[in-house]
Amino acid sequence: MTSLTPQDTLRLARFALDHADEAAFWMDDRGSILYANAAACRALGYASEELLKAALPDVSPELTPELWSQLTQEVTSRGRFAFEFSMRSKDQRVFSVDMSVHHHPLPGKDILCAFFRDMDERKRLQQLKNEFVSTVSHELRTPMTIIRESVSQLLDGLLGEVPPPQREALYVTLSGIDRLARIINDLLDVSKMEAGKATLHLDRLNLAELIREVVETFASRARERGLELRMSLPARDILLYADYDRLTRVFTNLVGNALKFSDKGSVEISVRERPQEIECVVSDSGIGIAKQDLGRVFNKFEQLSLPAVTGEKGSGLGLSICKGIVELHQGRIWAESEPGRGSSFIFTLPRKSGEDLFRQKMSGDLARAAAAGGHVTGVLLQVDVLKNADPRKAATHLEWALAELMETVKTHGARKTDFILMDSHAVWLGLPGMTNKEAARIVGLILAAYAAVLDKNELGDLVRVTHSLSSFPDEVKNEKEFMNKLLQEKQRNAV
Amino acid sequence: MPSEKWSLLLVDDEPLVVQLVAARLKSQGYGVLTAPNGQEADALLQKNKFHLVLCDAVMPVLDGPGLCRRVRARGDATPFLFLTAKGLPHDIVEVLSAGADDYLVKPFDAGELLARIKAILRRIYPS
Repeated sequence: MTSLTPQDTLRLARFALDHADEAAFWMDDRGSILYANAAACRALGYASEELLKAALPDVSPELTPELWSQLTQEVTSRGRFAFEFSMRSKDQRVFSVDMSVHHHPLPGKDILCAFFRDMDERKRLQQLKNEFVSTVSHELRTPMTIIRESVSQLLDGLLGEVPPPQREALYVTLSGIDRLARIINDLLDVSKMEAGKATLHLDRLNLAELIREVVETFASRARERGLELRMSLPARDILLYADYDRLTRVFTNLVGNALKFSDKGSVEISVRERPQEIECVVSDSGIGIAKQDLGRVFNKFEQLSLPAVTGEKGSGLGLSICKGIVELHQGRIWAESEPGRGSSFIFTLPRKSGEDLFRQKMSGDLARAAAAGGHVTGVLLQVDVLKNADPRKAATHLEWALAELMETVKTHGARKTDFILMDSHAVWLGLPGMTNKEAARIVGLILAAYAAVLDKNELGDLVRVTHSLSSFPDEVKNEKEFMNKLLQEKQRNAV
Repeated sequence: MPSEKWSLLLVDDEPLVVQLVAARLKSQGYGVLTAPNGQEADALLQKNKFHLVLCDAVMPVLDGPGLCRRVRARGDATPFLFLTAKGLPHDIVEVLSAGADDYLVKPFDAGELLARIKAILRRIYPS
């Protein structure tokens, strides 16, 4: 075996660092750069000698003395600190990086070793991939149209009689084309979710009702297959915020699979309510999934070697789509199974109030605005039924008034609004990129239109709407102040 | 009204799609004229009266939504049925807001195409 001297090891370490793809540099405790590897020089556009004369603030636009002292404190106490950061190259291009900084004390000096990776590059590649998927999918549709229509014309006898054996082959071709079309649709769906471009349309919905509708659509298929399709739901409504169409898709995919892989027994949808979340289970008495396959079922195009008992072949993307949708709702999904006895697919949906969801959305918008120097305005429109209304009709009035307010908002503010959510008493609006003045103008339009709606329905004296606005950075400096301003006005107005 | 009385304009830049869809429409007795892009379709629309335009979305020179907007801008209400390869919600919103009456995503079923054509004609031209 070849043996290495300490000098050899040092030279090799240096060689390896200079040939690594990850950018690395070393700093002293004041941020002066002591070494930068080739990848760091490339990323920042400087020659090595230039970087050795520089300090971290020279290559980072956002590094304030406060941030530097916070960083050094974290690194020395924890040994390592990882964060999202922005860097500036020699040609003044600002780009975001994933950076991790490690503390390495040497006798008499504190050294910080930093590694970073260009995130914009990764995002660009992801975007490129998604655009590619989208383009290819669209390009495939034209030739598919041609094939499908030619085959249909043969089958419809437009081009003369076709004898039965040939007809059979043409039917197979047609079903293959239709399957291809389903794969393309699913692929576009997954690609959109992966790109983070899929937005949820959250509505307050009754989960029990959604499940009953899904069961109804599958009732005849279950009957044909001699399977029992059951529900086990709490007796009362299960209210939560979710995207109705997407959540229906999750149940449809799971129940469809359960029926496909069962040839006897039953399929059951059950719901368990927990304090923090709602757990939904779709279980079957089918062939089950081997233990080693359980983790793979949510992967794209992962069709296990199990033969489907019946029905059309899927796209191989159904469970990836379920996973994408559940995760968009910030839930979890997993599978449990006993081969030969059946499988259960379980997913959770967090229980959140309208305020929670709004806060969460604004938190992201505020962080982005803070980093990029932008504006964010939040609006809370609250509806109250006044005391002079007939108390027996108050609940109906409130429900009606809220639904009308939501409609008015959608008509007059939807184009500028990134987030609209209705809860039991109020409508929350998120307006990223908008100043207080611009938002106030839109709120004015909404309120004027809403006053007209109330008057037309002779409810102007019974229903009151109050509003509050909170704008970053003109009025408030952080998330806490942002929410406080909205909620305090809500309190004050409610008195 | 028997379908021979209906005249349709089919606009698509893909010759095979034009050939096949035109053959299907003619087999049902519709009168069909065709154009390979929005520009030529627009010229035909200014000279002739069509009962319905079947229109691709993405085409060179002048695309489907562009054609539809131009036609609507001069007050022509000829119904448009889009046959589009782009089926995402924002694509559909784009063609509908350009003035389309209905759309089908490619690849479509011929039976559904014919049913939609009938439905539009029935709606736009009662009796």
